[in-house]
Amino acid sequence: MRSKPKGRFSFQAKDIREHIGLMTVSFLMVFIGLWGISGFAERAILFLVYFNPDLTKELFSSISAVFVFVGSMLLTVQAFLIIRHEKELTEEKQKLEEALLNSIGDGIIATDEKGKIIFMNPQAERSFLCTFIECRGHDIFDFLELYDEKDRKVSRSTHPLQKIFFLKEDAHPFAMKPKDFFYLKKEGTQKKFPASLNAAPVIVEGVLRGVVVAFRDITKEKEIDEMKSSFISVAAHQLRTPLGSIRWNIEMLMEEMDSSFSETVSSVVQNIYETNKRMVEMVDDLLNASRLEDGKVENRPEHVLIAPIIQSVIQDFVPEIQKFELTVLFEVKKYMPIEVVVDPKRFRDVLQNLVGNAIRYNTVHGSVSIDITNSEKEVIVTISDTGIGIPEGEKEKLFSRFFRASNALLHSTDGCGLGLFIVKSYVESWGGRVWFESAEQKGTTFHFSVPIIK
Amino acid sequence: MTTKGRKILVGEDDKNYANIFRLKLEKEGYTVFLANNGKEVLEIAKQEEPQLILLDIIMPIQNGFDTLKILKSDPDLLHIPVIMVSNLGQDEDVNKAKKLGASDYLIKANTSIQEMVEKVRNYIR
Repeated sequence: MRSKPKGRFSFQAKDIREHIGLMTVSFLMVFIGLWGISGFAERAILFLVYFNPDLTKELFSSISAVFVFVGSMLLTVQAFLIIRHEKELTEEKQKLEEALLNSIGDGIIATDEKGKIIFMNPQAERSFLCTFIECRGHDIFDFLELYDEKDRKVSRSTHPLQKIFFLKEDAHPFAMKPKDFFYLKKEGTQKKFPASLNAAPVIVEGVLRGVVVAFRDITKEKEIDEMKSSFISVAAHQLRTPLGSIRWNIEMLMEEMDSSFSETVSSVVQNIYETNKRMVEMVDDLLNASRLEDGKVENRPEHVLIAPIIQSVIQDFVPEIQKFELTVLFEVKKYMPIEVVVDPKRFRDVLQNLVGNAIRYNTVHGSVSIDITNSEKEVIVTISDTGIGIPEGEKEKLFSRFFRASNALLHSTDGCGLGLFIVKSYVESWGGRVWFESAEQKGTTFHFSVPIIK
Repeated sequence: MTTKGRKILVGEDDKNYANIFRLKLEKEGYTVFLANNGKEVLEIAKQEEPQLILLDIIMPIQNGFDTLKILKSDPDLLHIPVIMVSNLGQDEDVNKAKKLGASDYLIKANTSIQEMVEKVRNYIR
């Protein structure tokens, strides 16, 4: 795309220059030839009229002028032929370029160096419901109004085209990630459509000559994305029903079981209970991750005491704690008065994931300790374990979706790698941060913060 | 505990859940009435005047939200506390239920049976 306006303009200028030279030479030669011919004609007439043999020599010397004339005429004809051929080639090239730009599925808009629209392909015309003729000369920033997902207009200063026009250091063609998109407004209407954008500067000999913007209407992709999300959501809800029912049935069974049952029976029932619980957690993670992707997670902050939440999360893991004979250190009384403003459900989910990991990826007889530090600015919750740790080379990927550390995979095959992605998204949603230190085979310490709102 | 004679109406279409609700709540000493859909909930509520209603959301014939709306607009029934018991746990579902007048909301898969009983006890001792 970038070479298109550049190619067309420079090609024409170069050709005109070349042809001006060629034509000047041809015309000069024609003049010299004509001048020579007039000399030849004069001498020929004198020769014929007076039949003066002295003029014969001069007559022959003037014959060269005839050759010059003929030669220059041929040159002129050739120059005309070349120009005609080149013109045909240029027209053909232009037609081809136009056909290419017109047949591209993406909308293309080109501007001059001042941001005035100088080109639009039919796809762009269709997307914006206006013709190129109507939009020619419009300012690209006024024309390409961007809106974010919450329908807020992107200001001119943060408009992604700004850095391209000001040729900032990173003004290379920018390509956006599939999830980054803007809503564009159809010209003269309130209708908006989702689009992914790409833009590149047109630079000729180091000078910005314009900008080319390519955009793709991703309405269909968005629809498919929404279908996928709603499928996950429906599937997850449907799975929850039998899983929840199994949970209550086992809990009821465990209540009814007394010492008359053999150790095998109670151990099997316990296994079923734990497996089912893991499945519920996985379905919940899947549902939460899908909702995070859709941007549907609401943050409902309220004043909460965090120590009781931590205690109840620890309570949830009692069977695992007993199974691995772990020591869990948390001083409820010490931290009792600490209150933060946070969405209690999200806070619980974050803890559930971090405490769950500290327990699941621990070693037998290991320990988990939970501490809280508070300053004027924030409250930091720290969860330390004596577990398998995180391999050095994998630390960067730890918070990405579906990522599971290689040693975690060896340790336990269940888990879908969504827990820490959810943790990071939730913590960031309330303006906090999450970080960790870890040494393989020694343990991991996770910290997350909740800012104090005054 | 003097729960004898305390009536709880459970609107639940899933047979397994309905059964476990009945088993557990009867074990706790409550009298349990089961309804398979929203229409039945309204009928039994009028007949039996329970002290508490546990209401699922996704049910045939008439869903839990619509049923809740009717319960809360009926002067004879609006005093009965309603706890929504569903596996729909999205914020909008919980908010909608609270707006319609539900006293509490419980996501079945994320609640232990003991926690369910404790919630019930908050309203009917």
